[in-house]
Amino acid sequence: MQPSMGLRTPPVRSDAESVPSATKMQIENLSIFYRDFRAVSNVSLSIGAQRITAIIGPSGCGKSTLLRALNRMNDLVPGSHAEGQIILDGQPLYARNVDVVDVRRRIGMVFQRPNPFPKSIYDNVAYGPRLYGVRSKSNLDELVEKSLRQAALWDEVRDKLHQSGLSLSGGQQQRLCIARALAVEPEVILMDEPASALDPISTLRIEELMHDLVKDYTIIIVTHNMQQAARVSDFTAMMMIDEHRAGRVIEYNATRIIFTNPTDRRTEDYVTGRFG
Amino acid sequence: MIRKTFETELKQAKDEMLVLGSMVEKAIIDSVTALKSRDLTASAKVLAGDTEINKKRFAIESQLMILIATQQPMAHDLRLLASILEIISELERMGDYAKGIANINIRMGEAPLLKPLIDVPRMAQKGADMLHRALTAFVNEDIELARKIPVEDDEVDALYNQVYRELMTIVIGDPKTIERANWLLWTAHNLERFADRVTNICERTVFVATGALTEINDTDSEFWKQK
Amino acid sequence: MNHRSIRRQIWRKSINSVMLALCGAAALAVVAPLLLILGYVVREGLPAITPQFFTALPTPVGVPGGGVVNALAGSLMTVGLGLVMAAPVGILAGIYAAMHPDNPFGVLIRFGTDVISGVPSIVMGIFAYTLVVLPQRHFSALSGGVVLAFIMLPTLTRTTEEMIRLVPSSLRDGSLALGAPEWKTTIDVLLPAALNGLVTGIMLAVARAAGEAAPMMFTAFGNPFINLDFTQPVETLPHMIFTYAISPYGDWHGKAWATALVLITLILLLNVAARLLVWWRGRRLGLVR
Repeated sequence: MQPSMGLRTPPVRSDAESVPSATKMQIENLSIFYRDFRAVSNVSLSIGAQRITAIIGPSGCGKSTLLRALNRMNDLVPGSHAEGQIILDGQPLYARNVDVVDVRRRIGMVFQRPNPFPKSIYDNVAYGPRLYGVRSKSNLDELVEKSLRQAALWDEVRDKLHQSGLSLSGGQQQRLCIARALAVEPEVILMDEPASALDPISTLRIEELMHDLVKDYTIIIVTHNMQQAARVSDFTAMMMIDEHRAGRVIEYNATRIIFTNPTDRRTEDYVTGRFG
Repeated sequence: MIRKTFETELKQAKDEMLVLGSMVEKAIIDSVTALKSRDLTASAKVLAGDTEINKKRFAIESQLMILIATQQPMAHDLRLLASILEIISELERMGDYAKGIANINIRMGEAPLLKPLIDVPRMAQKGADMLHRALTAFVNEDIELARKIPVEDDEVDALYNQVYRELMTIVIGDPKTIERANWLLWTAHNLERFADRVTNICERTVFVATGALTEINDTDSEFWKQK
Repeated sequence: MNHRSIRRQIWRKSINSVMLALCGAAALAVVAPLLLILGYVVREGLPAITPQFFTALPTPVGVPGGGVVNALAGSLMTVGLGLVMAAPVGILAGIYAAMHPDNPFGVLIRFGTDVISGVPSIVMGIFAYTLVVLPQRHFSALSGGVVLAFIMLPTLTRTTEEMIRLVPSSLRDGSLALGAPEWKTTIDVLLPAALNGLVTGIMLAVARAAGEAAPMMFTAFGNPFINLDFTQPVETLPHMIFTYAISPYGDWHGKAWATALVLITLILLLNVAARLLVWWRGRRLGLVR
């Protein structure tokens, strides 16, 4: 039996490095604390615009914590605070007069387990735009269709937009969540292990989708699946816990280098499966 | 140890490659020995041996493909497996050189040798020795050794030059000997190419260890400039 | 299979049977009282049920016929009023306690509801008497509503808190990540998600309140006629059961059983209606049922 879903493995984007990319997000000396405990230590990364950057590392090394700091979702954890700075298109995100709602609009997030709201498919996607004042039905209809098309879900749900988001399959639900995130027209999309709860075909679909999305958005993905990071990303950051149990980025380079000839011994051990 | 099975399979792949290497070493020595002593039966054996070499090469290749598909090798492991694939391809062609020499012996049939073979066996010996050490260096990831071996190719080239001059002299003296001279020249040529391929194997050793793929000792161009 | 393993198998099977029998007996012991009560109520009460039972006013002793329409109206009024007063407070307090569990207020809410739910309902009745009846100088449906509100409050608060807590945090994260403020997330995402549980909570609270007789003695007091004025006393079903039951008259005893049957049936119907509502909502959203 061969799979005949019209899927192909995503092509290697060889131009990803030869065409230099502007820096979309600059992470400077970022440390994240939970009360007194330093969970992430002194991370500095340059995230390229319209590129896919992967963050890999063994469990508990702070990947998700780092990701959540990028759209200030960490603020919701009581006792959590951050030091250092994140600069998005020249504007600092951790500053006194920054509107967190605006940050989360510009930086969207997709989670590990698909989490559609218990509403209709239409209302799920329209939730974000409605938050920001879009009221007219025609505008919403347009936005909903556009987002669902971008998430490669439109054809499957166009006739049942009124049905609950929960009536979809796992892979479809995740694409719905992606459409929901896209509906507010963000600039950066954060993905926290977006395919780890999905079957292999859905996973490949999501990866294919990422390749389409990256033309318009900057994507940062946390994944514990190394092959996925290798398949999908242009740049990879390797994280590991130091002796104080704080997560650090120990190597950051083009993906092809990280997976064929990494510099740090620990990265080599991790990607070859000798550790972690 | 994590990936114990994989480690074992990697070691197996290397061992199989070494076995193939020794088959090729034996083939080149045997083919020249058979030529020297005009032993047509021995040459027939070399031909049969080449079939075995080809079979083994494809067997190793299949094993490696399975390993690559199922184990998702990265970084060093990936370079290692990719290099073994390349090396067994080289070894197979080196085996073909031995086959060529065996064929020459058979085609020469009853005709006597033009001159006693001295340099040609030396070339074969040198080539086989270089191959042996190059494969050892690969398995041990000995970059130092790998960088030194290609230099010895110059010796083989020098021997080839000598054979060439001697045969030219004979042919100029007696043009009727051109066919037999041709056979011998072709034999020497095969041995010279044999030694050249060893350099490729040494380049692979450096690649696996460092990730850099460069030419070592590109003196062949020097050689042709001299002519 | 050898001798020993066969013996072991038999041993295992017999232990299994014994355990199953014990579980069955326990289940029976739990269900039996319920079945007995229901059986009694139906057997004793059904004979007195007539269509006019639901439409007529109570008749004096000895006069046949009569009904409980005044108590029906009164129960509706008091329970309804109690719900209207308690639901907003209880649900909001429950939401607060769920969102801020470590906050002193959150702790206070939880502690407070535990205390209130431990107060005997008759004490609540006296409290409402002092609070509402005395200043008004007469009994009223209003005071009845007040006391039922107090009685319903802990259940509503607790259930709301539990149900909101049960909503997966991923739903909350999803909304917040889109830039929604906390309050909007609570209203637009968490409450709808917890709706089924909230409905259950409301049903539980209503069921309890509808059956309270003691507090009614001090507040709604009772009324032989239908009265739709909240400032006047009303009759309620449980109070009516009490009145009929402690009387020395045989036919009133029959009416007590009948009223009890009506009360139980009403609550059952309310529950069924609520479940149907939830199911219909689920079906409308296209969820597989």
